[in-house]
Amino acid sequence: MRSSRFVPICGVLAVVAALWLTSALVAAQTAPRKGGALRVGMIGEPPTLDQYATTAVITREIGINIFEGLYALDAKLQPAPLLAEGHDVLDGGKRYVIRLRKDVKFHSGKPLTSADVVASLRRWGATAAVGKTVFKNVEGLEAKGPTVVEVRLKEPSVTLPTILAQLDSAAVIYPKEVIDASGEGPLKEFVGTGPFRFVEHKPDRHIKLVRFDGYASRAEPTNGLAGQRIAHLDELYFLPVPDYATRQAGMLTGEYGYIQQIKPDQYDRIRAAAGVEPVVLKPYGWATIVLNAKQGLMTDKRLRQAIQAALDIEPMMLAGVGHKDFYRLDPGLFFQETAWHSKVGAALYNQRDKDKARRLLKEAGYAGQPIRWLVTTEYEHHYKPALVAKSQLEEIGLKIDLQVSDWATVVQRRNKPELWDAYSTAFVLSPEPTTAVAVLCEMPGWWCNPEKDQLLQAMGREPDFKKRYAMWEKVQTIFYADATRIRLGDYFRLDARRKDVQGFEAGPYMHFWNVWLAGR
Amino acid sequence: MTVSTAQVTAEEVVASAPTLAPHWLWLRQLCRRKIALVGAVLVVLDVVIALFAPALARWDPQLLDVKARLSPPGDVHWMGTDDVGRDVWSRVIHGTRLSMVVGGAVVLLSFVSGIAFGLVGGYYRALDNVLMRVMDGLMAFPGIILAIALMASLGPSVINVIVALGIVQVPRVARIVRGSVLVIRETPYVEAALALGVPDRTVLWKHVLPNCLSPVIVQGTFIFAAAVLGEAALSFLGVGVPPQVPSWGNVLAEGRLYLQQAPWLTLFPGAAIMACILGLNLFGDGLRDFLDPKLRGIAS
Repeated sequence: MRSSRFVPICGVLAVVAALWLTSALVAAQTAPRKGGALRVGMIGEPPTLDQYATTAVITREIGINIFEGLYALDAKLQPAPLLAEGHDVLDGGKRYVIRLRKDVKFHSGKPLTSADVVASLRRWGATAAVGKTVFKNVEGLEAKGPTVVEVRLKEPSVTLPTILAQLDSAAVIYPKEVIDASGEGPLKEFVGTGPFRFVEHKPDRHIKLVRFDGYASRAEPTNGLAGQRIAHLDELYFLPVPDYATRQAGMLTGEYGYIQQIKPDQYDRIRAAAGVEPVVLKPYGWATIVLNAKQGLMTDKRLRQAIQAALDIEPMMLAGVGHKDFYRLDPGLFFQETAWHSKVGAALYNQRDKDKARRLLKEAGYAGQPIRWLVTTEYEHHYKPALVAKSQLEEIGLKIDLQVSDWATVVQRRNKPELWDAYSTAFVLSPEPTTAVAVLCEMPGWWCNPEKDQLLQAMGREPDFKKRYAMWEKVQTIFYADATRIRLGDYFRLDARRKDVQGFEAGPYMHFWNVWLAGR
Repeated sequence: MTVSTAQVTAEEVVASAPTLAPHWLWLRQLCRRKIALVGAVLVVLDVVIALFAPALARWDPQLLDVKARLSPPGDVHWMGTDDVGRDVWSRVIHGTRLSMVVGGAVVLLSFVSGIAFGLVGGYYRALDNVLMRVMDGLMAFPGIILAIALMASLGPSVINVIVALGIVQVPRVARIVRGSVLVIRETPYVEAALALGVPDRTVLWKHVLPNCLSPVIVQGTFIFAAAVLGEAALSFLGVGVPPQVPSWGNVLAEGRLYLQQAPWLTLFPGAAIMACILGLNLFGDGLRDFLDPKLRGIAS
């Protein structure tokens, strides 16, 4: 009798113990742990790591781990203090007094002060595409004590914190000494306050970062890019792997822990692969063709409009993305998922009107001059649509000289208006229309329409959303009328990670804090 | 056994010689080497395809039909389509033309430069050391690495591919020519010409050059093969001809991502490269045997 009871009890205990052991093991696998090196397969080399110098996404995707700004975007793309403790808005939005956190140190060990912020923002205002736009409205910028900075504006602004939080040529804070040592030339050192510290850049091999043990994280829970940031990884390697197939093969064999930009036609294969998890970023960006409004052939509006009229966008996007679930056609300069989405100007989007295009070419007196078009193969959603566009535009009599190079070269060449007539690129999610790169005059392509620029400035002053939205719709109307940038379609990005790369938050801004390697 | 066969064959050749014009004799001897013949047929086929590429291609190799992307081989597209709907057959056919052009131009470039360096280096001993050290320097680099470095500095274009691959092959030709010249310049007929006061230029052109051409001509087939393979490799790596140009390497590179989904994208250009290189190598081997007096007459 005793033994007949004993056996089931032992069985139950064994099951409980097994369950406990399993759950403990699972917990150990999923609990954050320090250590390890993560190798990230990137689409190429960044043209620079200076965040002000370019709007290239690859620059900010590496820099976001090293540098920090005064504010960060939360999950709803609203600004939240990061290096700032908080701010006061005075004089009806014409004066911002920003208080800095006192516990922040640079990777060099030096504490963050208002002198660093003033020097950084001045450089940002002088060199960054977004900064130049903002500084048109800045009257004064000065330190009001070791941890207080005052920004005085000519016109009131309701968007300053959002602009300081956004990541396209972001207003990150560098040490004053580094800025002084660099002068007006390129940044000589990459020292920030972020959770990872820059160690080395071996061109065509890797960019190495290591955990910054002196990092002072914010205490609030993580919310988008705001809140707590913890560097669990010892080392982060960003490796340039421009070839899609190589990146994908490296992910499948475990060479890389994370890779960006897989061709979406490979989605099913990635999903079925052992040990690999697809990462879908939706929405992510919209593909575009930027025309040179400053110099050369494309300064003639009729030529630009001819290109806009001729293009059939569906096959361009299909060729560039490959999977129908990963793109969509939409005229809105902001995504459907945002409050700024609008369909005004839709009549000029995806017209497929070759007769109109030929008529415009004739009016412009086009005589077969080659259109120099910069494009890279590193981004399929740049290159393949350009190939299709070339074919479509040659049907109406345009001569396209497709100049293919690596992305870093395209970024360098596009700054020189004498070298090109068109280039392929894409604009990614932006939190604020007034400084969205897609509409900035400073962005290479130089769409500087006075009416549009005045509308953007007025939007910056206007606190009422309905009025701001009405102005934004006018900007979008001018966008299609001027045709300096040809909007193609929205595309969604497919990345992948190894399953042991835990804590990764899929979103529009790839970053590797709060990420750890399980079971290594 | 082999010797007796060789003797018999040689006798046959000698016996038949009076009935055939000399220029048919070499053809007949070449035909006896069956493997060389297979090689020659493959090479001729490639040349014919290259010459008549526009007629043989069913579509413009750049014509895009995105809706028909990744179509398998069928009646409309014999070799299927690529990821933007271009006809693979037409691209492979036009790729043949490009490969033949690159191969021929590289052979020409390396011959002109290599023979000049080899003749001058071998004949004028004062220049020999300098020229050959330069050639040694070029040979010290692995060929493909040197070509990649040259392409990185020159930029992607067909002309630059020819220049890069030509530079890689120049030392190979120069070395062979120099070796032959060193022997020929000591021969009695050259010494006699010099003693009679024949200028160096004439000696080099009329007496030395013709006698050192045989090994170079054989080498030419291998250089041609290396150039075809080199162009494909450079384009495959993305540093060769611009990616939109139909070349075997480009078609192969574009197809590699679709090995499982669309194997025809890699299969057909791969087969074209294999057939061409095989043909050139077999033909080169046969030519070498034919031009070597010791082996002439031994059918393979």
